[in-house]
Amino acid sequence: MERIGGKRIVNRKWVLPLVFILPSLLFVLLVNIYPLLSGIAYSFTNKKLLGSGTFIGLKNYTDVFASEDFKKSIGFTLTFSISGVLGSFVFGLLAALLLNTNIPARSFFRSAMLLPWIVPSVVSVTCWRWMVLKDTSIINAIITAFGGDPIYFLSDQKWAVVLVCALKIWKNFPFVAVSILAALQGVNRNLFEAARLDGANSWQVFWNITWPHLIPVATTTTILLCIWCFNDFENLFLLTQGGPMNATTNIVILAYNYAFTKNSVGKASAMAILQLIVVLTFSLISMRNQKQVEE
Amino acid sequence: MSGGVHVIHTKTRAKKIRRIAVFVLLLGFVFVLDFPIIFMVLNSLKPNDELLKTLTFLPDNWTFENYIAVFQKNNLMVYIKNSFFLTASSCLIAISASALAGYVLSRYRHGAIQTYGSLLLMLQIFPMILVLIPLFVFFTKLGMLDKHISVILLYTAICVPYSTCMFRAYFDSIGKSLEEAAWIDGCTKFQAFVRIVIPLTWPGFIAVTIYCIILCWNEFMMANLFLRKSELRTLPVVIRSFISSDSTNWAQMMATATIAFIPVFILFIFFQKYMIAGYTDGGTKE
Amino acid sequence: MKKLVAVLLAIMLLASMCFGMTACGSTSAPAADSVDAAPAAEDASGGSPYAGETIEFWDMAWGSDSARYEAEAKKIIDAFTAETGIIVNYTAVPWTNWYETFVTAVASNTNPDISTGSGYQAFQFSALGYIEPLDDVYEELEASGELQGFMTRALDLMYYDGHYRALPWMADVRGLLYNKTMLDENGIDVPTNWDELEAACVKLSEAGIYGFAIPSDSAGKQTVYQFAYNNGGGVMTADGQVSVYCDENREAVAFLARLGEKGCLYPAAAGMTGSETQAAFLNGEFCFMITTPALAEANYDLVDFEIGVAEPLAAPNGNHGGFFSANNIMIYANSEHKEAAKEFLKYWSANELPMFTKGTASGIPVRAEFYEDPYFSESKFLTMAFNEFIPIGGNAVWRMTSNFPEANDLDGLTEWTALAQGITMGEDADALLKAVDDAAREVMGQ
Repeated sequence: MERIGGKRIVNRKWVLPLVFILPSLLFVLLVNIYPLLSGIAYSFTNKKLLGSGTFIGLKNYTDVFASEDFKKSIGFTLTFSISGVLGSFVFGLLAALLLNTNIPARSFFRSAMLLPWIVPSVVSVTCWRWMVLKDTSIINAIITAFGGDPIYFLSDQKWAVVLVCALKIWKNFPFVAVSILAALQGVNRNLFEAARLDGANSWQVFWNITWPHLIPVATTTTILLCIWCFNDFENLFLLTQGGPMNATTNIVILAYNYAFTKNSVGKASAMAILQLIVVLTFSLISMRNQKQVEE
Repeated sequence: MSGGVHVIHTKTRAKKIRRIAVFVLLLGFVFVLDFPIIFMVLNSLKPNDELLKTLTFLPDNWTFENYIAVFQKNNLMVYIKNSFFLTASSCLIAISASALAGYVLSRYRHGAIQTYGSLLLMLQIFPMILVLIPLFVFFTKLGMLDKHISVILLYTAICVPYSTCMFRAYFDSIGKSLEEAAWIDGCTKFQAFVRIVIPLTWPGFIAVTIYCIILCWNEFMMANLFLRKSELRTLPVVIRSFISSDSTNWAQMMATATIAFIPVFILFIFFQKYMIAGYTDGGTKE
Repeated sequence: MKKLVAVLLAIMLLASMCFGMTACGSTSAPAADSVDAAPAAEDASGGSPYAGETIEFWDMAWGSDSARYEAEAKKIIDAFTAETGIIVNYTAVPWTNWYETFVTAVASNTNPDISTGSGYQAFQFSALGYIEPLDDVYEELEASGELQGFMTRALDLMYYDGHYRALPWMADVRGLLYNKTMLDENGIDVPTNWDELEAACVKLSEAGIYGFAIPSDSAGKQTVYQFAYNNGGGVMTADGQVSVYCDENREAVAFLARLGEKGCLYPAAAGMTGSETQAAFLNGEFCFMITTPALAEANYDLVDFEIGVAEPLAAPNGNHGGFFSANNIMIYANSEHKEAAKEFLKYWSANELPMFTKGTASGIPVRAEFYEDPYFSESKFLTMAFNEFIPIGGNAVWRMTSNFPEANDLDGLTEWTALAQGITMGEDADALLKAVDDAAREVMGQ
């Protein structure tokens, strides 16, 4: 700390970080904080879409906790998120490891495997829908060719859930693959050779050399995956509109329905805040664990 | 001795067979994986009635009529330009801002700064759908509706939290020792950042940039709400607008969708070469 | 390598700047450029006291071919501008997220001067003071004799709380469409009542054909409405009480559920939208569907079977009824060009015939004189719709005959969708109907 003329000036070591952070901070404040605060405010009112509401305290929260469709949506959100994160991570990790090896035509496969991620949701989801819509759709054509009965994915509560989970994994695993692949590049090749010479097999190499290096990226990726699965709106909305019979309605879609069709922005905001609290708690715990691991 | 040569021959042949087998397996896997997309591209080469009536995989009548129609009738170049401009600007700004912030988050372990990191993560949790109305009202008050700048701000704001977190992770995975050496040698922190850290994490940069590009290029909800004039629309909005009429011209929609995904695909093929090792030679031995 | 990448990035940046300039160039174009209006309109006959004003008109995507629809709209607008000198900026609004589009526009004061919209939109917005009452327009139309040509049922729906809130322009009716070829091949006569419909579906299912399809979205809900109203039921009683769970409705829902139990319902429909189900119907995948007769008219020559539209069915108690809604045009209270907008409204309403005959508008007109055009008079489906479906039809607030603000929320209840899907999926339809009733009571505060 420098003192000049008895006055404390700003600690010089702070200038650089602040300058570095400032640009992103501005964007974040402008576009994220204001609506967030509005949302919190709305959740305590009975605001409708048009016009403002009156303060009603915690009534929205109690109503939401009591409602059946909220409970159903929590169940689906958990199913969707757990399968989405696990599936995306496992497939992504495997794909990254595979793409990092000396397979033939590596560049081609790298791009081809990551295609699901690149295609806009609007397009890929429409294609998926096209493929499963009827008993003559191509997936059912394949099933019947193998002697099975056609599955009406979009008209069956259980199969619709399977379908959306598969879609989510399909869309997300390339992102995990790309992130981990980039991190894998930082692992020193010489370490691999040394380990091989010492007689380590592939699993030991992976577990003792590769994996520790991946942990920061893997953890961040997983946390982000969780958040994205919880928050997924586009995929569910475009594929099943949350149906059939709300079987694939997660909390976000439910909140959207409450806001835009039941005209109840207050309850919708309450739901969003509840989800926010849960995911936030989870993220903080994960990040604290990550810090402990690093120390 | 001849026994040894014989062993080498079979080993090489076995290796070749294995390579071919792996290739074929991968090809099959990729075909199944990318099936929806392959299907979409093939569909765009069929005339629309064939698409609706029959369910064939390969087109019976190969035609480019959908592409021609879409470029002429629907003025596609304008939408491509819009998407391109928005994506490029947003990503440029977002990556620059996030890389700087990610670096700070990685190297400075002080509480206040780490709180900022947590805040960023928290912000991703709040779904954008529900902040749409306050944002819309807010931007309208500032007279920023139907202007590209508003969407650029939004996209940047969407990209920044994710990018910052990822950059922090990538910077975390390389040690401080090189930078500390540079500081001792008289480099400023910024120079050390640019000259040492960035090249070491170049694959990470590419990965994050690609993610942001894809996010902005494919984004639908905000572009739909904030850019309503037809000459300002982006590609995802245009694609979706094909569906909303009663009789969708699926073939043209597939053609537009194919056109929409090709630029990013090409970009991806080009950049992924820089994601492989060789770019990080010269790093420290950890 | 690094240099190459740097150069590439620089090129990308430059390219995006160039594109940006051109893109910016187009955004700085003046607002009144979407329609090439004749500036020298003062020379045209008459001209209007509001000549030179510019009004914003948002029109939903009503046409099954949006390009043709917009082309016809622009022609009418050009003629209007030539005659009056008022400039009209036409914006086509897609149905996707339409509610968000309008709500956010109104909430932020960027709404147009005049727009079409959903059937109940004007009333919901009216309650909040956003819609300009059109009593004076009605008076002018009555004085000129035009009002008498409007369908009374459509006009009645526009009246709320002492004022006429919007002007109807297109009616949406529903009828039972069938695949005549399929019926003929199986020796089945066209059903005239519910029992015959059930028998027909059962006979078809014995032949391995699905009889009936109930889509999942609003088209499915309207199927339920159709049978409920046919049976004399309704969403409300005539004096405004929620009656979703009344006996007539329960009987109708039970009938549809019975079709499901007998295996007559097309299984995939619970996951398909109305348009997708229509496409499946036109592809000959099942026999019966409740949808607009205009579909039969538009596709009669295009499909490889004969489409038929059944006369209104008789319910078990002999009643006839069905779903009908009147789409309308509204003017916004915060418009600064209300009088110009009203002039446009009258002109548009009187000259809209081409939107139906050439613009592929998906409903039928509300003005009787339009039916004299051969497009309608020579179409047995459309004349049937006008003569037989409209007089018995009710909209989402039936048995009330005029709209009110909550109508939008009632019509939009997700519980209706769950009911329509549940019937196909074999769930407890009666319980689902009760759920709709509970939700409706919550909306109405009853």
